[in-house]
Amino acid sequence: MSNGRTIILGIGGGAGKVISCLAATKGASWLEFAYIDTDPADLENVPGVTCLPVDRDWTNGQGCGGDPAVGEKAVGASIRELKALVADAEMVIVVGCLGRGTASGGIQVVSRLVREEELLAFFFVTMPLAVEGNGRREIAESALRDLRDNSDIVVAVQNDLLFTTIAADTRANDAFAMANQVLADGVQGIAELVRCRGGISVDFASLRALLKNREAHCSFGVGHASGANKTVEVIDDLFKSRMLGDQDFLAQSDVVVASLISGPDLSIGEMNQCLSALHHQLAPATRSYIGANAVPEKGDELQLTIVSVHYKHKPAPAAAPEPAPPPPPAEVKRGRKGKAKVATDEKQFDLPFVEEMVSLGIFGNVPPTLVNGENLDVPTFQRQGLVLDLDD
Amino acid sequence: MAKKPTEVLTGIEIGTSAIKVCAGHALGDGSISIIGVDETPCVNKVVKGEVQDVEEIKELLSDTLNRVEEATGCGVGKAYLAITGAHISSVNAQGGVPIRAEDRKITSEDIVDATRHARGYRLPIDQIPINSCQRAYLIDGERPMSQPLGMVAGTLTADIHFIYGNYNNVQTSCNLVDEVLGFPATDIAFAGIADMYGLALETEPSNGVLVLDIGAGVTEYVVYYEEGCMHSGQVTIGCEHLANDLAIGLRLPIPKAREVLRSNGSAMRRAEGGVRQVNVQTGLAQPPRAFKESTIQTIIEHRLLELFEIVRDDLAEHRMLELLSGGVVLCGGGALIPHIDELAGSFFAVPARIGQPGNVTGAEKEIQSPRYVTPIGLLHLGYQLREMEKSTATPFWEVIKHDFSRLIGIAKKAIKF
Repeated sequence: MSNGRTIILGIGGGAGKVISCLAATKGASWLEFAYIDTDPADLENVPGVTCLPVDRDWTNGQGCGGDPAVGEKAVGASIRELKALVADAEMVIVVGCLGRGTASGGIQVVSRLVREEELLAFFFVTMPLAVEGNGRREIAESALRDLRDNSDIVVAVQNDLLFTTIAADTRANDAFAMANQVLADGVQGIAELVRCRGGISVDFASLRALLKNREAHCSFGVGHASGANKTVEVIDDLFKSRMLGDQDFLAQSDVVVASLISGPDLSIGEMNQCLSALHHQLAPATRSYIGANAVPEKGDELQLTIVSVHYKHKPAPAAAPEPAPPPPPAEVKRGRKGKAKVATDEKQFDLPFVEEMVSLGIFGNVPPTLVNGENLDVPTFQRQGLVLDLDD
Repeated sequence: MAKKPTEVLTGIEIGTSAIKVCAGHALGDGSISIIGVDETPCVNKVVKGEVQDVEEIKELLSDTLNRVEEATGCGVGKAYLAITGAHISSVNAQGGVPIRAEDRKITSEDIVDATRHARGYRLPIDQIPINSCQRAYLIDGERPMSQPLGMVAGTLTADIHFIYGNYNNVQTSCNLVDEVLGFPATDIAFAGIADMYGLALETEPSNGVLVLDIGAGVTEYVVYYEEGCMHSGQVTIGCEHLANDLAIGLRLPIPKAREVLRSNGSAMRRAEGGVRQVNVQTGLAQPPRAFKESTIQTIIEHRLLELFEIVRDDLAEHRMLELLSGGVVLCGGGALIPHIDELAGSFFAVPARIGQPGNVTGAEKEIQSPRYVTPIGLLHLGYQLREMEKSTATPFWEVIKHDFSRLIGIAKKAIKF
């Protein structure tokens, strides 16, 4: 069992809202939260969140005025406190809403810090809405470029996409709350990935090796479901999140990292069903890293978080089946708590998949109805892996 | 038996669940008066729209026809037969002619020529044409036009939708009817085309309608646009698949599953379905088994959505989805499943309704049922074909005959000289 600290580090005003949302999420109590802002007053009273006011004296609590250079200096001035905060962490998930001063500037300081400290870091950033104007977008894009140079795993979420899933007549306040919740779920899913609590975990070191020094486009999606057919419905729900792109886009991913969070009652059969349903959506060449964990607070709910990675420069076809490079020794040392994970990672597809039951009933002796190679005489619910609620 | 003055038209549909026969005569204003309707169940003798047991079906059809004859008090006149099954395919064919007239105006002869060239499409071997429908005329190969007569053009292309089927399969059905009636059927039609006529669709021009006939074994669909068929197809999935899914899912014998589908089926999961229970008596000595209504609805909904998806994918491939502003009209036995119109409407994102036979009069209650759209459509089709035959100076077959004799003439001349 891993007992390492996982710190969710929010930078800037927007991230603060995600952090406070995440702090209130079911099953996230094991995470540590830290929040850096020039004026972290909003979160000072939230329990479990360590606030690190940066250079409050310098900016007089007025913020950075949208200037990343000011943000970088402000956070840089507090580097010692920051270092103390993240020291000894197993993983740091950095959340920032790019486009404004503190986040766009401060995140560069953090990215350099985690690099120097050889911490496992996952950067989760949002890009500003189109309506916020070109200025902010330029700041955000340049910050993202710098960030990609310095760090291995960056998931950039377009805020515009975040809002496309929300009905246009939703009250604006609710819509922002929903968007924050989606981000919070994404962060939680990623945090659960490397945590091994009797489930399947992902070896972060090999994941990092896959993404290191490669320009890649990452997108993420979260699906929720509950009830008898949650294992199938969670996949449907996942595709409702537009940030992931459509099914074809997912199928073309080079790497897929999935994290399944369930209540304690999820059976191995249900887990298989869900993961194999996910597997059906992927191309055979896609490498997948799947983690599954049970969180008692989730109850009947099932949450599936997916990060889909598309390399900008595809490897040559001949080199495609190249095995995952062995994690560099330094990283093995670093991931001491994750030692057992290497083995589980290799084993994840050796799960005893439930034998597919096929019945034809009255169509046993007639020419089959074949569409796209699928025999449609087999009941749809069987082919889709639905579990029927039969009382008797 | 006294013969009625008007000729009796008979529509025969040998469906997967039942043989349906309709007799009626045209009233002259385009409507049909139904004088006799009957059906005989033929479960297991016809599978997915194709006859499995010819002798048995002959007997059942003969019985049905006898009962209709008794009801109408007159013999069966012209018979029209609906054809369906997995062997049916369709293709769009084009044929063009250059406009030779000095003023380059399109004449009716050009139209006939272009149509004839399009109809000259060479079907795959062992296939027989069942219906052909005018989709559009293209002027100079690009501008679509429904009435090209009199327009100035360089070339005229006729675009035709061909529906064809396997020769042997079609011939089996035709021979069967021939042997029972003692004379061959006057014409055959793809069931989807018959539906199009049977529904008496009244739409604004350029408001396309998707006619979806969900039968017991086969679902036929036709895109009706600008008073013609633009596209058609079939999927061998029907209500029997729903019953089979229920039988497997609920572990019921198939007759019980059919009963559950008829009495408790619903195409959509309803909020109240989660709590309501359905009791099914599975055996004499056994206590009834209880199922949640939502379970039954889940099975049905998933099957229907899959069916709709197949149809939608095909329509999307042929770029038909954008024509469907007139909505979806459902008919066949599947249209009787409660809430299927809601499901289809939300899936295709257009208005959906249950279709009834249109332009019919008569006492029988069947003429209100979406199950009878196909056989009644055959009567409409038969009537219109007959009228066309009467009014058209040179119908298509005449043109061919004319051409053929001209050819022979040329050949004779060639031999002489």
